[in-house]
Amino acid sequence: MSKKQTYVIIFISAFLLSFGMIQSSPTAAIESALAATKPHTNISSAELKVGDTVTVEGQIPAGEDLFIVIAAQTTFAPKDALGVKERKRLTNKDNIAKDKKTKKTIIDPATGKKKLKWKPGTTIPYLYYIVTNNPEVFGKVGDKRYGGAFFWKGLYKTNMFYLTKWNKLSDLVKEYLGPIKTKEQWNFLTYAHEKKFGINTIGKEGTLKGKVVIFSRTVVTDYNKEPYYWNKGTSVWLDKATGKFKASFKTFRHTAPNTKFDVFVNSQKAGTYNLAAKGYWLSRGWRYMNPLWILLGAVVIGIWFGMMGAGGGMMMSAYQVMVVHTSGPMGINAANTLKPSNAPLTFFSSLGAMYRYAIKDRRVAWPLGMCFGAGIFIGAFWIGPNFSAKYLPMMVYKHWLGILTLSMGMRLVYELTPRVMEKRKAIKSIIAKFNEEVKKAREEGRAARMGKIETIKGGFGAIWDYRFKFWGEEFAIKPWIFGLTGIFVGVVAASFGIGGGFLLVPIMTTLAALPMYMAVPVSMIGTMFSSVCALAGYFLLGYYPDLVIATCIVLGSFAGGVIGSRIQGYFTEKQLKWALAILMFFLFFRFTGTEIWI
Amino acid sequence: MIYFNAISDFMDLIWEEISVVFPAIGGLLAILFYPLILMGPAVAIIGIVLSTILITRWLSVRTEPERLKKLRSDFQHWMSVRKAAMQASDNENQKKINAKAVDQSYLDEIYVKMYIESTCWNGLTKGVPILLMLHWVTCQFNTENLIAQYGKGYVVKLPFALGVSGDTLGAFGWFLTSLVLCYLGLWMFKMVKRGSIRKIFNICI
Repeated sequence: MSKKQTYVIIFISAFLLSFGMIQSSPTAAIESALAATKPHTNISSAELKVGDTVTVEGQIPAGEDLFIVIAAQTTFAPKDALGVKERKRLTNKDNIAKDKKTKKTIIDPATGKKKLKWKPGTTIPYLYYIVTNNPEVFGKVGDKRYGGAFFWKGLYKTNMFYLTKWNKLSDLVKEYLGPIKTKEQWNFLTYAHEKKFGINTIGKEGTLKGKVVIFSRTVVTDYNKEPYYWNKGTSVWLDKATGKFKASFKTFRHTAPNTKFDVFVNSQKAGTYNLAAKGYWLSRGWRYMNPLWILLGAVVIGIWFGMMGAGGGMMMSAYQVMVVHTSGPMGINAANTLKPSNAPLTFFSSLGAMYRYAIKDRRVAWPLGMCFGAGIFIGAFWIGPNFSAKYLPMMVYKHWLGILTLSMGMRLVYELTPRVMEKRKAIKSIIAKFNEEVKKAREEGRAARMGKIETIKGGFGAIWDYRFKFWGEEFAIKPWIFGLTGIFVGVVAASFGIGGGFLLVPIMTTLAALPMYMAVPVSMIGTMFSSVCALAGYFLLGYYPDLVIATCIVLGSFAGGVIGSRIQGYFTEKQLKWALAILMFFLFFRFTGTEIWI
Repeated sequence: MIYFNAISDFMDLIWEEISVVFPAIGGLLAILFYPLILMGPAVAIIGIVLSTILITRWLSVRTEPERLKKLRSDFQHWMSVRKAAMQASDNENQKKINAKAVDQSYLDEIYVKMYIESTCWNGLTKGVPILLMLHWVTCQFNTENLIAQYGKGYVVKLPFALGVSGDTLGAFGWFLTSLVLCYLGLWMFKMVKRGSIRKIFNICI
């Protein structure tokens, strides 16, 4: 046999052998052929706890970049948003494409309709990350101004990772995005990770600079190579020569319990892992938090309220924003869970007291109370929740809460001015001369029962002109004016999830010159109306409170209140007012993004 | 940070111990209210709300702190001071000035203290039990349980649509509605019992 014949026989044998292999086991042959290109991966564990670090290691074809996509199996589409206002905004406002320069709506020439960045049914994973050694292909690091309220926006400067436009992504990279397949999905993902409303409504994961949420991490890389704040907890090692890699990624501490994640390595599905709960999950607060911490914080605020006697609802709102970080379920903006969760506090603070002072002691000027109530009903039931749910998402809510705290702080400083303090002292001296008379009166048994309101001019006309006597002193007021004022109070109270007592009492003491013990019972009717109406209004819109947060707040603040009222005597009025004023100014600076570190 | 973590771990430990008690209490409540639960979710929730209100009222009256009683008597005292101050002059303007002086220097302050004390005590004795019951009711009568037990996923069907939940009310909504209805009912009952329904109108007008 010649050399040539030998080669022919070997070639034919090899051909027949390989042909036979394919015939006998086609998949095995394909798999073996693909084996060279498919990444070999291993996920550290299929069962992890939230906040744990997940490690993915294996091998990809040599020379390639590493793209690990980690996507939650739980998905979110704008049309499925639980909150009615959020649904409307995501499907009918924020998704409309606008010209960057003119801010005008772009009309799609093909359809003649408004051009949409995403559709109501566009689905994205609720949490989505790309761990890579080459983040530049997905976007770029750019400047970001942050901090400051809407009136001094962008006080500070930092960096953030901006996702690039879909059209600028290469076709190869588009293949590596896992469940994100379309331009609409990419647009919606960008919105969910870069816009505050998207972050506070969908993923709830904020990457912080100080105490300010800048954006939500999407593309992360090795922290040692690129030490940006969003890369903390991520390590990526890739040997391009061999294709061997190891990547670690710290999972989000407040991921909903039992969320399953799909892991894709360079477009190939590499596996799945589950994130189990760690700690107590607040089902509507959408956070892990030991309720005892909420309770403890509420006790501290309660003590404060007990000593100061003002601003309980407002301080509790601040506490929820700053410490509890009430986030609301997926599809509901954080603020729309926070507000109804705060309302029970004001409801129960007025419930018992109102019964005693209004019904039993009859110290309520009813025409005034009912007019206030009617106004508050309109404000807190119809206008407030609708207005607040639509126009006061978490970010704006914080700014306005800051302005409220500022106004309260300024009022306190005014009360601390020497002029007002002197006036108060002078009044106190007048009383001394009555003490003797009183002593006599008590000895003679003249210390009578508590005063009750005696109507002078009542009936239905009392809505316009109401006159009554209390302990011989005559009061004349126009309840309809208070009805109108009540609308404003109702809107404010429902919008912030507070009672509105801090507005009602000064209105009555200044506008109607009512003494405090007559103003408070009426304000309690107002608070009662505002909290019931606000709760009902939010309920009808589909916004429910987190009952665990609400219970802890009520229990803690009232228990603290009892303690606070007992230790109040250890401090002077001046000390307490200064302390409250300082706290109010601090809250103002915090909520307006001026102070961002403490 | 180490101390904070240690405290946090300790708090978690306490919570773990406490959280064991809740299912047991829930089970006990389910046994206690079993006859009501048999009557359907709507009746059961009304019954639960009513009994909660009655218990909280009893609790609130029985456990009134001494400080609150003292503040009430102080308030009465300064009220009488006010009266005396007003009687001390025949001039109307002077009367008002005198009354205001008493208000601003003592009465208002005592009233605020009394208000805080009673508010806190009422919140503890009324608010907390009601909220805990609301929590238990929403768990006990959640949609899955309602379907399994009564074959329907709601508590009450309304003749009209109401908000985003349509024409049905779940346990949460029905509990709140029952709460308002029960308080109103008890108030009316008290008024009628006292002798005359006219009192209600007298107060309002």
